[in-house]
Amino acid sequence: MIARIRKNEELLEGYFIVDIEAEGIGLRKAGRPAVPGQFYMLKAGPSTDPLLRRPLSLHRKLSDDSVRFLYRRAGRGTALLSRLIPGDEIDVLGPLGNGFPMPAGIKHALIVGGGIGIAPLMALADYISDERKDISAAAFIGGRSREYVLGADEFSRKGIETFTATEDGSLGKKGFITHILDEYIHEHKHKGTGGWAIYSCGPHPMLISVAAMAKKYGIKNYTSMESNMACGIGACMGCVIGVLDREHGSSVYKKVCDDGPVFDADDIVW
Amino acid sequence: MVKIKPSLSVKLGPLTLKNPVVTASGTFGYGEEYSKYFDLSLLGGITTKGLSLKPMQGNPPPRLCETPSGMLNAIGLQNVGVDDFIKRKLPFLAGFDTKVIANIFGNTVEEYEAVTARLDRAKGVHAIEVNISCPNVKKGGMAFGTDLEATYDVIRAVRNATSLPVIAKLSPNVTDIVPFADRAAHAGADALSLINTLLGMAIDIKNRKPRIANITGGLSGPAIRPVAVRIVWQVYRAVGLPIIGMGGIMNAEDAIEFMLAGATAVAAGTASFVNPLAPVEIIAGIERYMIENGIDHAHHLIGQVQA
Ligand SMILES: Cc1cc2nc3c(=O)[nH]c(=O)nc-3n(C[C@H](O)[C@H](O)[C@H](O)COP(=O)(O)OP(=O)(O)OC[C@H]3O[C@@H](n4cnc5c(N)ncnc54)[C@H](O)[C@@H]3O)c2cc1C
Ligand SMILES: Cc1cc2nc3c(=O)[nH]c(=O)nc-3n(C[C@H](O)[C@H](O)[C@H](O)COP(=O)(O)O)c2cc1C
Ligand code: FES
Repeated sequence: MIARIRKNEELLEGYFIVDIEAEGIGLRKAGRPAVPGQFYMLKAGPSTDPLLRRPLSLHRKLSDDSVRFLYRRAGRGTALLSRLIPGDEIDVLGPLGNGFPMPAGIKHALIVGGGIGIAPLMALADYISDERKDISAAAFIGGRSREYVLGADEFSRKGIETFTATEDGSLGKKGFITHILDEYIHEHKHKGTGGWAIYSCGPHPMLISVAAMAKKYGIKNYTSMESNMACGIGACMGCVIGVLDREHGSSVYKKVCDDGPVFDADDIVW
Repeated sequence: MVKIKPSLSVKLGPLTLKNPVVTASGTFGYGEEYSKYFDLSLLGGITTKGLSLKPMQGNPPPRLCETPSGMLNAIGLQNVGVDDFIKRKLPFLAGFDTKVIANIFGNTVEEYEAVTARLDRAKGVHAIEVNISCPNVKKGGMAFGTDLEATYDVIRAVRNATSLPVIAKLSPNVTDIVPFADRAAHAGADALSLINTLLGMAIDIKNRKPRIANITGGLSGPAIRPVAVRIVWQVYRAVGLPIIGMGGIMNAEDAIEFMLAGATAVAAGTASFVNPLAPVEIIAGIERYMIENGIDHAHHLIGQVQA
């Protein structure tokens, strides 16, 4: 569908938010809202170079007819997007993919993000604080330095206890956010971690260490994965990752766009 | 100006399509994914993802990357296998008023034969497209399509295993494709699909690694269009079989270019990734072009380049 840019702003060097509007863009079918963890395929302009759409996660659902993305200028596709101005058209497909699962019995969500990985986790935080008063949350946000810790203030404002870490110590603890997560779980685990779930998105090494920690403590970990995509709708088989097939005890290739992008971290062949 | 609606129907030998636009194998799944975006009955035909005797896992990721006006892929023919296709995917496709073209491949001539025999007995398959041109699998695939005798043997075996129309999908990764088209014709093919992807490679200069795990992959998209148009034109002039033209067709203008070069039908491939509605927009655009140019029948476009 063709959407219109309402706002496209650089937050800090190379990081942008863009709000786009189109009728029903914040909805899946039949009036049901897009869920946190879902993504959209965007194409800025009709040129054949870049050719393919680029996936971006739902960052915030502003209304049924308006959504926000948080994106990093990584290459030509996102650079092109960053140059669009209010009123410009953009071609959008979505929402796509499965979204973060919230199985019954979840009481406490640990939200773990690094850098641009915070993009889909903000949608999750919005959902929990607006619609799931039965679930408490804590957030763990890491980045290279102070500026790259995105969204921490916003999480705190929602009343979510928020911990930060930076590699250079310019904000929060110095080091990796996974250390703080480890301390947090260690400190609280005597009260029981039943009903806890970790939601993660960020750089691959961070996801691996979060998954290992979740396993160590026996906590469920749902993680949003990335891969190069062509179609985004399950047709090309181009975006697969290796996932354990528990039934057959082997690994199979699953589509990030269609079976994911959110997977049970314990199933992923890292 | 013709006042009446022009006829878009075309004949690929024994296979009649209601319009010249089909989907390219491997770019349209088994149809289900795109059925959310438009009515599949609008299509001239649907070509399935390549089917093998046994299910295939495909190649390790990363499987694709973008290149200038194109993309490289090495999916490695991941597919559900012919039996599961017949049981689970075909009944869905059979519900639409369009021609289902089953694309097949194998590691041996016998495998091609066995897959064909199963599809021949299945209800709802209208033609077999024989892929002897996949650049992304070690055995089979392109190994057949780049050897004249193997081309003949595979097409002959498929021909003998079915009464359905047989379409040979040829590899562009040869110096001269005409002898291959000729061998396929002699082996009994009813039509030709031209072209499969061109073998390519891309390197990430930051980590000095190939950008896809298979190292090399198949190049598709607008980048290959002039090569594909040239091949369609060469084969059209030299060999008597009808051609399904493909390679970088993004819109109706591109499709018409292929028809003028000699294609009877056209396939949209990579275009569907960029725009799920591409195939139906191409159909509408061809019709508009025919009305604007007073062409009453799609057949009158074929091979009409003034060379
Ligand atoms: C489901 C999903 C959700 C995503 N959500 C967001 C989001 O909310 N915000 C955001 O900023 N980014 C997100 N991404 C990543 C984003 O899609 C890529 O950064 C983007 O496609 C790069 O396109 P480009 O043309 O700018 O860069 P390209 O020119 O294509 O590539 C430039 C560089 O970026 C790297 N790159 C390309 N694609 C990806 C990728 N998928 N992941 C990581 N690195 C990549 C390449 O290796 C290359 O070095 C998401 C990816 C997926 C799969
Ligand atoms: C992701 C992908 C998967 C493909 N899989 C197959 C396949 O299984 N069998 C086949 O014969 N061709 C396959 N092809 C080739 C296409 O059918 C087509 O010949 C080629 O992409 C050129 O057309 P295009 O530029 O319009 O995509 C595949 C192409 C792509 C991009
Ligand atoms: S991007 Fe095509 S199947 Fe996932």
